[in-house]
Amino acid sequence: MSLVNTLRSRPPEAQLEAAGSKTSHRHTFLTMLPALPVMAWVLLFLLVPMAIMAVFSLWRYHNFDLQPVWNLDNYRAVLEQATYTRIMLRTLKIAVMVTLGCVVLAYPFAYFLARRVSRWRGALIILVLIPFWTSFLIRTYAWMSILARNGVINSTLRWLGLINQPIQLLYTVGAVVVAGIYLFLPFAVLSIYTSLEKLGYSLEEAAMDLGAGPWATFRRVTFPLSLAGIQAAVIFVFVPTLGLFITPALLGGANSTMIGNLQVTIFKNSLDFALGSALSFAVLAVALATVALFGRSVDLERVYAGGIGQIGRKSSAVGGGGFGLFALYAAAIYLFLFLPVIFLILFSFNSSSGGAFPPPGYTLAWYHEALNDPWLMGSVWNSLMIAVLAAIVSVALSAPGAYAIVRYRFPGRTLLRQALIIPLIIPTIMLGFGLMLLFDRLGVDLSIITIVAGHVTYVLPYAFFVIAAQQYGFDKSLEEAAMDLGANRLKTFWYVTLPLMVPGLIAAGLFSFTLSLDEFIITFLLSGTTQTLPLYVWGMLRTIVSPTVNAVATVIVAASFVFVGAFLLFQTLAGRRASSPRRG
Amino acid sequence: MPADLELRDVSKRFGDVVALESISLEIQRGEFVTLLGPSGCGKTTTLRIVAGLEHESSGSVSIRGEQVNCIPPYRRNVNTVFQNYALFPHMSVFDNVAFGLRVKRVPRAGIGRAVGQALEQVHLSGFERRRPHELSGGQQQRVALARALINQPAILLLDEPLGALDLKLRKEMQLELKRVHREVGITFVYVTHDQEEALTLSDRIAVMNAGKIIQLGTPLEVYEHPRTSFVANFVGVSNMIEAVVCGRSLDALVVAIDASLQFKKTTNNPPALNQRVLVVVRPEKVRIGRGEDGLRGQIEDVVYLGNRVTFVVRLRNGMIIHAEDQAGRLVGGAFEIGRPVAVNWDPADCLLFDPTHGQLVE
Repeated sequence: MSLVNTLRSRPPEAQLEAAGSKTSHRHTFLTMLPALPVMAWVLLFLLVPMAIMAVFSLWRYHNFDLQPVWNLDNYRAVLEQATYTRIMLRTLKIAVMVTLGCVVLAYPFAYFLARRVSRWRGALIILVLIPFWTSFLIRTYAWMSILARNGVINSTLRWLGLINQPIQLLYTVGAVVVAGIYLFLPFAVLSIYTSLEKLGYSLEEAAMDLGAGPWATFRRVTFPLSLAGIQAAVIFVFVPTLGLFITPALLGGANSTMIGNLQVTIFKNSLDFALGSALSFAVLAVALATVALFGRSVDLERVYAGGIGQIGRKSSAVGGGGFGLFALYAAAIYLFLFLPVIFLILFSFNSSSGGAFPPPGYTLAWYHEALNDPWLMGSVWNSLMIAVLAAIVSVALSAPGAYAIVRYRFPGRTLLRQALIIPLIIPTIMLGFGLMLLFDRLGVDLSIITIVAGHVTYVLPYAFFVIAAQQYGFDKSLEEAAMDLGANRLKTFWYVTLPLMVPGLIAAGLFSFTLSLDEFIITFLLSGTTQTLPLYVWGMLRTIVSPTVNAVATVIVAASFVFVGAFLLFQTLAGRRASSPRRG
Repeated sequence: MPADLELRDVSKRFGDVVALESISLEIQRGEFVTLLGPSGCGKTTTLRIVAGLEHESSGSVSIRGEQVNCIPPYRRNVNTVFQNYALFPHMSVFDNVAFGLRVKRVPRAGIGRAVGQALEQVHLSGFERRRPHELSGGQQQRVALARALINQPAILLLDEPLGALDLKLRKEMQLELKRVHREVGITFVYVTHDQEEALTLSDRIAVMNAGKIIQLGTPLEVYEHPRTSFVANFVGVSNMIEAVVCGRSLDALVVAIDASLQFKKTTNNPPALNQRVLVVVRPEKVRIGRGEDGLRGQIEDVVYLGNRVTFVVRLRNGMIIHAEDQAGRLVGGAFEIGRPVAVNWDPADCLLFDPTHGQLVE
């Protein structure tokens, strides 16, 4: 079920209310009160920026100034000028290749997880989730040291005597595609896994019982019923690939510029907001068309909430074959997911400053250097501060909003839900452009405050849906019991609802914190002179790649492992608390 | 002719848990046999082993004389009606029913005709284009039945197929199943925990508990002559009264429940003096009267059930006895709540069991 449908199909009536008995204006206002802050935020920082972009895309840019002259020239330029169309087509081509690669690689792997393992399933899925949580920038960078002229692949091939001269791997379209597959594979695996896991065994058993062999069962039952998962995978991979910026900038050459790079150049350098906005809407159109085409049966909520499916039925004798082959394949995928990060960690101890492979010796010098870099430490401090603020604000906005949206029906409720889905289905870079234009119009100077505002807007849907998901799973009879026992609404909230919500709030906070800490593109557009850790790392990568960056990257990876662990812990606690103990 | 189904010493372990312990069962062609027992007794596991969806840990399974232990489910000549129906949600009713023939590569024309017949048989003609989610529970049930029957299996396995239906529909579907069974003449193996359903439907019932078949027999045998106190209690309602042997001869014994009720019962093998026994008597065999003849107590509750009345009698020693009056003669008047009464029964109508291992004292 799609997130949109999920939210729509849930019983919208106010469950704790005697429906229709109190429909006074005062009552309506009271029920929407908790949701007002989040509604205001979404309006100001999400919908208004989009509207500004829409307007600007129809204005004229002349002599470094935007003039309110309505015209379609910007769109004409986007569709007709060869420079733009070439980059757009290339972006589409790369996105299609990355999407195909992800789906094809992910399917057998997800099938393995859902059908061939039972005991270790939880652990194996957490392993897939870990890279999903590890810094995007760092994971992209990891490929630089693998694909470089003296990198892991070239060194290995030379050592094997297969080549004499290093081959050009870095700065190619191929490098962008491979890294894209690497970056988005976990999305595809989780989407497909979720659909297979939800399917359960019983239909496959029925097919076999009716005489279908393993292949016929797969072709006629399993595969058609997992199409929803494939569609979800397409959206989760294709849409963010359209907005790639870091990856082509670091791994691609001049001939692999993508739309993201073009947009950044236009918005940040030439300041042609009109053309930039039109370009953004062209990308948006492709993204929305993809969602419309594939998005009818997507369970965003589950994937984004990072939920691990329940471990299904005890056992089934059907289709146990080919375990060895599948396991081998799964091992290869895990290697693909983890080797780049492992190399990165290895290189952080490499005594060669040129990143030679295999390392001639080991040293802690780079860690020492990193610790003694005051600029680096300053950027870490900024990042932590921003992340803490973004987490607090997003949870503070989401918690009452989610509480109200699950329980009450009020004006603007549907709009709020749909608006909150926007950041999930458009490339993140678009949020950054929109906010940039908003602050420019409002005359707000870029600072740490604008970064926090940007981050809150970016993480808000995630925090909101993590909390809302828990609220939907909430056993309403607990609150009813409290009221039945004489607690008024406030006391019920204080003694029953809130304590049960706490683990979910912490999980959402951790999620927001991690996303914010790692956020690059919005920060890049809204930072002004403020340095954050990802910006600092970016700067290091753009100038001279010193091995210090490996040490920093290793610490970031280690920290994200801790956050995943903490998040999963609280997520589990939240799930356990929300439902009352089962009988029998 | 070999038996349609023969299980010999079939056991199944899940890790340390023993789900089935040496089950043996022989079912003849055309029989309707029900596996009856509480949840967790191993009845569904037995069915899944016959279907090939679960592998037995030891023992042998034969279908029409051919051992099928290593044969995968899709090459076994059995089909299953699953508990949750397991209808394919992405296929229409027609495609669901046609599934078995399609995977067997039966020509198109033959499929159309066979599906038409199968749907007719379950009274669902005209529903071909519908999707499973557009059907009611009872209709889904019929589709599942048609889908399983179209392959003309040697044995049809039914795993609590009526579990999800409401009582009225259940009764209707029970009659439907009986009719279909008569018409197709295929062997049915039916799993349920509902003893009334088992009695209604079956030619024979295998009462199971804790991974074993406790008793196998016709509904009459199982109800009238339970071999253990478990069967007596699970099939139908029984009063269970503790008593002591207070006298014995070669072929009879005297049982005392208390000073007020002693009775003589003939047995082949009477237990020792002073041994405890369990007296089991069906509520409809209990006589209730105003006199002093029998166990004395008072009426604690009267449960009116339309076609019959159950009196709940609390005896002086605190025990509860249910007495059922099917004729409706006793309603009102002297048999109101709180009235003193005495209960009694014909010694021939009760059974004696050993309280330690539950075996019948014959």
